[in-house]
Amino acid sequence: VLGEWPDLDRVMSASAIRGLLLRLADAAPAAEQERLRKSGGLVASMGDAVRDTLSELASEAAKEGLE
Amino acid sequence: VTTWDDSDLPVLHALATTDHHEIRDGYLILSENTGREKLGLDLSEEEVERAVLTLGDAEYVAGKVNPGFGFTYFHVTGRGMQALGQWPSFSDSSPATIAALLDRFADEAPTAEEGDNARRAASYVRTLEPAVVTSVLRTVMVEGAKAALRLGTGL
Repeated sequence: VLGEWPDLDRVMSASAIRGLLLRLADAAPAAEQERLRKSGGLVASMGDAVRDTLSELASEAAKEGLE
Repeated sequence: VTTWDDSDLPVLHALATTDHHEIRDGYLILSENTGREKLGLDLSEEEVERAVLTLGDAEYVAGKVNPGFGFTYFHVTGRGMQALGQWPSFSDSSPATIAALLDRFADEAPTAEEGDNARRAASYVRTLEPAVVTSVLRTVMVEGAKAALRLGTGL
């Protein structure tokens, strides 16, 4: 089962999230495409902050789940 | 009926939610009363130990094994929290996670327009099926791995 999961270390990178958003843009309604592509650029510009922010979000969710 | 349902999952849940001070402090001392008194489970010492070792193999828990004593530096890992549904998992909640990331970056965007774009993109991502996002992520990762391989081999 673990082998079917995405590799989190690879997912949690700016380039991977940018790639995801660009791919989603290709299949999105016309009105959403440019926003997704520009957001991909924004994410890419954040660099290592992507990994840190995802870790923060995960930590916050974990705390909420335990409270 | 599986060991996951009968013991592994209940033990994982109990370890993540227990108020027992030893476990909270990173000590999982195994004894006859561990299951009932520390975890609130009707499981023997052997059943608890077997479950903990299985959970460790799956990287749902981690700690240092001390034979005849139990575990120190013991904690439930991020993977364990994912299995309990208490942590975002890219396998079932990536739209929510990606959207939250975009919302967070919208607040830090250099211009108001970029921030507005990111917030609207986040709203759209939230409407997507988790399976769709997971599938696209896998494609991106596979292509990334192929590209890295080509670079490494000079192809």
